[in-house]
Amino acid sequence: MANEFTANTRVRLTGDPTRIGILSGRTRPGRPGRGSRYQVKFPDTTQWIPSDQIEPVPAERESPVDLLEQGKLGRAVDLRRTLTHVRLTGRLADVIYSMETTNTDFYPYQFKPVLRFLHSPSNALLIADEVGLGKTIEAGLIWTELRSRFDLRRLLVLCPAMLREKWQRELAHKIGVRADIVKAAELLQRLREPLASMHGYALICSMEGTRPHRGWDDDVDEMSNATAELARYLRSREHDDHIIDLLIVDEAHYMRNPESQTNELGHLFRPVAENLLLLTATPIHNYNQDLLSLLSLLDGDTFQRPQDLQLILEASRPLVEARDHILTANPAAATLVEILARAETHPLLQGNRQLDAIRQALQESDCLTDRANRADLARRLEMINPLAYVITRTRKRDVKEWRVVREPQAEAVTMTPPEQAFYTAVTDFVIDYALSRDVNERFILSTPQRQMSSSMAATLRAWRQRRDNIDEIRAAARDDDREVEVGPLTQAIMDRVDGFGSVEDLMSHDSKYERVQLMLEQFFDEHPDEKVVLFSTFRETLNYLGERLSSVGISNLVMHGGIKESKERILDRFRDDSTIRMLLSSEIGSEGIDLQFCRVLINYDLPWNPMRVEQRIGRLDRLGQKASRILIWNLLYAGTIDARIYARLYEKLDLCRQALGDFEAVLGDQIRKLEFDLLSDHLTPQQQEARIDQTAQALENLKREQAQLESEAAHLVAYGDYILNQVHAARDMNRRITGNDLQSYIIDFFTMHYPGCTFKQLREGDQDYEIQLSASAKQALDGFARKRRLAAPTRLLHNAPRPIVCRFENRTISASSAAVELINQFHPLVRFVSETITEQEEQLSPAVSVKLFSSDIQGTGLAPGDYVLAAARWSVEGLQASEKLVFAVASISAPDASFDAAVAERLANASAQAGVDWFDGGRVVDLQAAAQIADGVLFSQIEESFDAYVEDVRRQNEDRVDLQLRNLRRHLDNQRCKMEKVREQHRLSARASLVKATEGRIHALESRVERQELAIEERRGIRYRHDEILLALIRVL
Amino acid sequence: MKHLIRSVASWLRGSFRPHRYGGKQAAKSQPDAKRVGSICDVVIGLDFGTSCTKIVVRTPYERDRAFAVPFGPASHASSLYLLPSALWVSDSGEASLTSLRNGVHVRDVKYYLMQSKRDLVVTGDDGPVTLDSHAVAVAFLALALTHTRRWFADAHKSSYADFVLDWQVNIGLPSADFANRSLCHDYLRIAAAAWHLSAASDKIDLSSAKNALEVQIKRDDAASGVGGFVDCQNGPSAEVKLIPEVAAEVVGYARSHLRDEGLHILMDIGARTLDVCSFILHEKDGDDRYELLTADVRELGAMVLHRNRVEVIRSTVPDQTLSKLVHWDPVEPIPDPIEQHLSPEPERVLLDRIQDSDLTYSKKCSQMVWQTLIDLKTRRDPHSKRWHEGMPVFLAGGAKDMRFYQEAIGQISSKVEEMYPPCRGVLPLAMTKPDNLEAEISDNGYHRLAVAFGLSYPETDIGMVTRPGDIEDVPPRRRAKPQRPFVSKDMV
Repeated sequence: MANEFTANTRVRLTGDPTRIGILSGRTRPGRPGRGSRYQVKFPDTTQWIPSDQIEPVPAERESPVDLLEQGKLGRAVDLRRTLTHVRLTGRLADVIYSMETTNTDFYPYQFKPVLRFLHSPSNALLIADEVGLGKTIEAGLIWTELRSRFDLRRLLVLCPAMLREKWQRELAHKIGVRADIVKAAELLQRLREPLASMHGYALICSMEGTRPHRGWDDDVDEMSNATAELARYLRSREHDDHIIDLLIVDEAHYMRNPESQTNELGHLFRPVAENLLLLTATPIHNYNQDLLSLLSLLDGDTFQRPQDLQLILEASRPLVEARDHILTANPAAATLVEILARAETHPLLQGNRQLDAIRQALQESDCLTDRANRADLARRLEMINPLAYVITRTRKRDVKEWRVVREPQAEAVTMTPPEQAFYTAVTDFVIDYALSRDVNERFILSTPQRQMSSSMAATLRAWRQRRDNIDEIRAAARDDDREVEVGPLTQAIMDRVDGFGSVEDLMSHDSKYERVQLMLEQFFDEHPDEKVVLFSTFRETLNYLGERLSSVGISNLVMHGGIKESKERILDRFRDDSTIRMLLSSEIGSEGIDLQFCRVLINYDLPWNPMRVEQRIGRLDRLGQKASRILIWNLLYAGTIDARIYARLYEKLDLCRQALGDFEAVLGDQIRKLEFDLLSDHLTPQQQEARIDQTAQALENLKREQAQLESEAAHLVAYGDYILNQVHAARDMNRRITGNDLQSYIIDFFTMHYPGCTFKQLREGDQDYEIQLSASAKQALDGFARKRRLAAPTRLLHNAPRPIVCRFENRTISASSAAVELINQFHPLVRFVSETITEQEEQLSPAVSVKLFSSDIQGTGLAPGDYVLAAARWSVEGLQASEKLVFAVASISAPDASFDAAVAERLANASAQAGVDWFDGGRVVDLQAAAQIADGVLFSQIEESFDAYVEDVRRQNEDRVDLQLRNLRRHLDNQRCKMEKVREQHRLSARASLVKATEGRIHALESRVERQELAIEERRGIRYRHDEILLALIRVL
Repeated sequence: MKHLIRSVASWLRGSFRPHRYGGKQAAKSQPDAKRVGSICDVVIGLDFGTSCTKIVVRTPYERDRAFAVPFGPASHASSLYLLPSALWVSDSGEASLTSLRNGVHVRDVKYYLMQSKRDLVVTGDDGPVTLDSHAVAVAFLALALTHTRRWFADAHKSSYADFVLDWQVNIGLPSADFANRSLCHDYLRIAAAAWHLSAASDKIDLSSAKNALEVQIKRDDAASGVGGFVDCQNGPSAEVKLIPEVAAEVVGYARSHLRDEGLHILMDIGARTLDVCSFILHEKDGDDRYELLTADVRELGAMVLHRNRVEVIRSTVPDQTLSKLVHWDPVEPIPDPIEQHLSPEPERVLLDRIQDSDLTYSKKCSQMVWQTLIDLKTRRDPHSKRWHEGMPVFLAGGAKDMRFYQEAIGQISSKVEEMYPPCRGVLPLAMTKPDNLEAEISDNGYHRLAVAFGLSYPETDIGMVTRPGDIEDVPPRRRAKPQRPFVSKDMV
């Protein structure tokens, strides 16, 4: 025995086998009658242990069953550490790694896209949620998930220019990603730089600033401009390795027109991006050309032509029908068999193994009686649906957390006599003007009338000011080499402006303003802490209101295109300064900003087009709105055309109360027609009303049609409930890693393997530590960082004189200061430890003994008593690699009573979180019997399920391989066809060198595809593995 | 059988066998679950306090469980874990931890010991009785140890019945007395005798206690050493060790993630005394070392404060009823503010006098602490990083949370900041109940068991304490004299 105890031997306490340490080599005499004492360095401390209390740690790992039999039982902390390690491999299929790690509130529906994306056959997804549901956050969660699972590092966001800052802010504050806004030239430089590519980047650029001009590919001038150069570079890389890990395209509907340069931009980026997310609020219809255009961007080989989409829709229809039937109260197997037989005749589903397996399963007589079975069949059908993992769509009405009610209120004010006189005077003047020039007076009248309807005083003031300052304005413009154009009508108005009345008179008889001031004073009196947003189309109105409201003590900020201060700064001030009560905004505030901390909106003037109003309301009615009601005050002058449109269109169709949703797209046409008619014909008020009614009716019909189309298109987006259940399960089961888990995982490892590292807790119960790594630990970590090509991985590698303060918190963004380094699941320390443990196949104490209270496992149905819990890890690798943690539990006194795997998992997680050491477990329980249960019942049960799981995955994998091969061949055919055409053109133009070059490209394409086919085929057969990783004796009190 | 079927079925299917670590079915060894007959080390941490004694028992190598020992009917009313350091002795010499008919109640068992007073005089019904203080201490400790072993065997039979228990007793000694080797020897001898008596004798009384002591003296003479291994022919043997309380007090901290090596101060505010010591914690070859730089103890404890106040009241208001205050149980927290226990409501003049008395007392306490700080700054550890970061201070003892002492510490802290910038004053360190201590007490109540808990670590793991006398002062830094410029002829 003494020979085993040499320096650096790993030993453990015989009475506490999870206490593992290393002998220092020092000894001292022991008690009389006992051997020497040996100095043992444990992870947390150093002790002198009598020789009869320690034993060497066996070189070969022991099975959990053996450890259980021998009573070598670990503790609750060991259980937690083992589960943490398995979860940290980042490959568990039923763990959502992005959950609870970002700085966002938890909404289950936002994880639907994450789960769909992970199963996407083309690594691409179209997220088509309605406005305000947080598509940005969903995209951020997908990026977090990809980073966690695959260590992806290169992110590019393409969006409209006005949304760049918003993306930058949201990525930083909510997802913990620092992204740079770049233009085309810098983007090109970053894409080309190999170091940046290795270390990763997060970039945001605008579509407008990146799309190449028309004819760029014919432009022989290499130095033409940055966008063309970028386009050429992307084209040159289309057959090489990906240079972008994830491309997010926001407002992807801007790419819908196949003829547009923005669309071409999308197609240039697609081949170089490994993963693609398209975000759009465009509604989803079967017959929607826009949809096909976007799908072809996602997966050009599958969605080339309209018939492709139709074909897929036809294939998915019976699958949805079958799924719906399974979920009815009394499904009939015969009906299902018939539906699936029909499905299998479709070319896309012929030979589908999963479908075949489901049909086989339906032969079992009791397959539809069990509810769990039916849910599983429904899930499996959904997985076959070719569209299931291509599109995801959530509507507001589907989100049960979304319960905000809109309360529109019309405030029709009667014009005062001065206002009436002014309105009439201007109207008559413009009509005369139009008649004298033989132009359509309705058209030219619309703008002045709109301005006056917004604010009479502001309009007259603006005209006066323009008249008074026009010479200066012209002089200033000349200095800048600009010309100021004043339209003839405007000039005429300016010439006549003194005859329209006095500004002061209008100001003191401003009926609309007086009404709004009264409303605001009452509101602020009752709600002294709240803020209000006011929209107007006209800058002059906003400036005027800003002055008048300030003069009565209502502090406000004005935001429109003429204000120098940036939109973001104004919004920050509005949000953060409690003395500022109002934001007065033009339409620039109706896109891309978040105002959900307000619940009152005033439309000081109401655009005719409800879409514009919806944009305004959408700033408040969005995710994060805490109020249950949003008040919308619409101010109008009674008796004007605006009032008529409001009464007969808005109120009739309830356009302010309900979000427009899908309706929005078809509204535009109708409103344009209405506007044209109202302005082009000289209609009496009654005729105007009739015309408006006509539009209202047409819109109502359209709305019904849209709803019908939407319901028919339900199978375009897979049934969400299964996915939502998965999300809920992941959360309820605590399938995540906490800061506590990381802390014990890291500290135990380093203090065991790299003595000399110090971890000093700053405050009791805190997760902040001062950490200093030993020289050998730094060296090992540095080597790892280089191997994994991590840029600036951690300050712990610096040769700092003082320890580094770190916080163990599994979030991507922390409330702590910048001086505190966050250690989350992405941190190099965690990755290093995880990989080292895996590579060295360390034993993680897989037999433990814990106890916990029944209150900690509510909902499991487990009565107080003693249990054996087993955990195994299933690893499967085909086209995709995934792992699964599986649990089983049995009562020691009644081992034949079976429990659900979900119950077992709950028990395991609760034991890890709330369990305490059950020291006597090994003594009071018959360990032989427990071992028998573990081996003969639990692992046996798990193994049987493993076989079924492997078969299921095998079928999925083979179907997926077939699909990928099919797509690859189509891709080859398409590309070859295109290149052959190009070659022919070159031949006809006698460009021999280009003919040769094109032939070279064809050949390269064919070789590449051949290699890819072989690589895919190689992964047709799956490799799988079942590891018994843990046993636990658990006493439930 | 099911397992066999599983194996055959797998073989027939030809599928991959469940993977077990090692790639093969690990050989099943004979079950050794209960380890019947194995040795289990048990350490008794015995905090022999002036007013009460606390004991924690630990099994350091069997899951490192620690148990606070409850004393049942012998315990103080305020807590099951507090055993009054007092003994009932009958006129026949019978000794008991609970009351005896016709017995005398010997309080302050430890006090006499620490004063090196051999004769202990108590007043009985029949007049004063003189007892041997050492024999009394032996009897007291023997009874406590007997109770401890019985309780442990009873309460934890299921966990330890199959083991052979190997005992160690660690008894704590106040830091200030650590330098007194003679006292240390007496203490250790008494503890060893007590073990022997508890292990080997059926009857524990003053007579057997005296005998045990005499036997121990002979043993020590034969071994040329004191205490150590107590080998009992007729009972369990034990290793008996004396541990300075400063190490026991802070060992939990030293072995935690909060550990920060360097200079620390420990203030133990007890009923009778205020103990202030300073030490440097560091590690050498894996062992903790406590370099005790200063150690001071004065009768500035809470009960002394209380008695001062009572005296002021008595001299100011002679008619005031004071019996309850005079006979205040030293184990209980002292009444504070004392005026709330006076009836009728005291006059202003009395309150002022109490305040003056407290102020004087507070100055004495502050002076004591301040002296320690001056010693540290001027000669004992003038270059410590604590003079920049702030001085970490452990507060221990039953009276540590009293407002009086908290205010005094606050004043000291401000003065330190003022006198020794950039030092950030005094930084109190909290001691919370360790996770592995099985006792029904809160974090607030843990401090009473902290020393006993620390003593329950194996002696080899507590660390070595170096006496103040063995540590030299730090010589003052000499300022470099400015060099006189000298230009030699070779330079021109």
